[in-house]
Amino acid sequence: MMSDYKFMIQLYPEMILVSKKPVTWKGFLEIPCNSGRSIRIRLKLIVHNYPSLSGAEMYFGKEIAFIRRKEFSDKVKDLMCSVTKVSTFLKQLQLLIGNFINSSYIENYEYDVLADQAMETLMELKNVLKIPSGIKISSDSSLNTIELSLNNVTVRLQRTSHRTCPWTVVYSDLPEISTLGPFERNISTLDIARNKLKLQVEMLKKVWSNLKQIDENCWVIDPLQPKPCHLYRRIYLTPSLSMFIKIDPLNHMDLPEIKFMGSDIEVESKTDLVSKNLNKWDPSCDIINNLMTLLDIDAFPKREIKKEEIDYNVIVTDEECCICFSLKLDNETLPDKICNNEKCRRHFHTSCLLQWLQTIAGNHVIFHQIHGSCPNCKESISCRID
Amino acid sequence: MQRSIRLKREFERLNQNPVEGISCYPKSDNFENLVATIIGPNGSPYSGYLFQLSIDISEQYPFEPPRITFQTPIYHPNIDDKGRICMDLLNMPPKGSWKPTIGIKNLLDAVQCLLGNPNPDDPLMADIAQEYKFNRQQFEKKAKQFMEQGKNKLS
Repeated sequence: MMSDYKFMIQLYPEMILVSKKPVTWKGFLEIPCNSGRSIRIRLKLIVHNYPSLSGAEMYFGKEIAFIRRKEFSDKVKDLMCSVTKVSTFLKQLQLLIGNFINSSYIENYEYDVLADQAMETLMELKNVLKIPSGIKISSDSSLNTIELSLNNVTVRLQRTSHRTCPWTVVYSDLPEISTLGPFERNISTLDIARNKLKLQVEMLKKVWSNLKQIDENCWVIDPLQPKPCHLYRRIYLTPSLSMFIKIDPLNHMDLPEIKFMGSDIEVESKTDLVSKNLNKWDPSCDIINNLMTLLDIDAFPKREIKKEEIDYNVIVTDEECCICFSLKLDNETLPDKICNNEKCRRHFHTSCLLQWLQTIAGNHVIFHQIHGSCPNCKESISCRID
Repeated sequence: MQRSIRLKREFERLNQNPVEGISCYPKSDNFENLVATIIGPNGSPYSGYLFQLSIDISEQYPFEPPRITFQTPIYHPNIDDKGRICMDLLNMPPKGSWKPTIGIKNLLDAVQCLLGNPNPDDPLMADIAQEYKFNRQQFEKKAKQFMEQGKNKLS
């Protein structure tokens, strides 16, 4: 008995003895196929009358569901009667299944491709991991999606079934740089993807450090939460003027793309000022000083700290009139009409609501009331006409 | 009266709580004309390009929707060559769904959203809509090319 267990461990290390009463093995069995590659199938083998194989139970994984005909089970039964050792039995079983798969008319294409792809990915990963590069590589359990990340910059790649471009980018923190083309172009292996990521991160390092300086020194209005893919910033200058800066990733020390946004007069005067100062841009100087020279200022306006916390996600705070967005009309009247819908409960000035209801054609006037729908929730609402 | 108070309030809010990728300022001291800039949303062919829009606020605002038009030429199923936008929110009911509780910020938000998600079932440019529906790749390529050409013209 000992020797049989020993043989099993040596020959089938993937079959594990999970119980001795009854004697049960569970694990994987590798089946060599014609095409040169092999398929792993799941197998559970319960040998009730160990060491005799008669009456043994067997459960196969669905990988070989397509060959499980009566012919197959008959052959397996014959085999059980003819051999005496479990290891020999498994060896014969491997051959048997292999023959059935090879002669099977059903081309289990999908399974092959999947196994193939996972194998290829594994091989690629092996190659990539051989050379340490500081890039973190992770994957999902099916080996379909591979994530590469370096200094908080992440690129997620997914396998495709195309032979020529086997990887497609499903997520990327990298900005799109038109001269370089999309990241997924010419990525034939993970190794190339990794080198490309490393190269681009290296290249953008200085651009990001410039952007960081802007983030630290200016009141950045947009983007709200800058990410590595954002190569632009819009900063606050005055209540009616902001400046849009977009850094050229290939020439980060050069004059960035600058646009002013705001009222015409201010935009015009600032554009004049900046075009006058353009020649003062010094590529050896840091970006903040350069921008200040352009604008002729000593410091950038800082963000005002708000005292009261108001939830600006709602269109208006609920005490104000939802139409004029203010609390008091000129004659000091407060909003005096509230929507009946409990979920809405928006406030209106009667005069504001009246004007809206009268604007909409088709609202009915009955006695001194005009009937229509609440401009926020569309529930019916009525208003007195004085 | 309501109009100027409301617009003042809207700008206060927009300054305190800016929206990502959107800027809006009065063209001059009065609030009749506004100029807005939208950054093309990520994941769309317009990603990273700047679009300038002009907004005309009528005397009846907020009881009438503002008129928004694209100043920057764009290749889009719902925006024509004169920059007019086909969007529900920009029309009076019963045809459209404008309501006075909507602000300029919400409208620009909606326009930015429209850039990322064209609505080919209510098109202004029938050919582009067909292309968007049945040949998305070509649409994206053309939209991008269109922007690249425009960019070259400006500089």
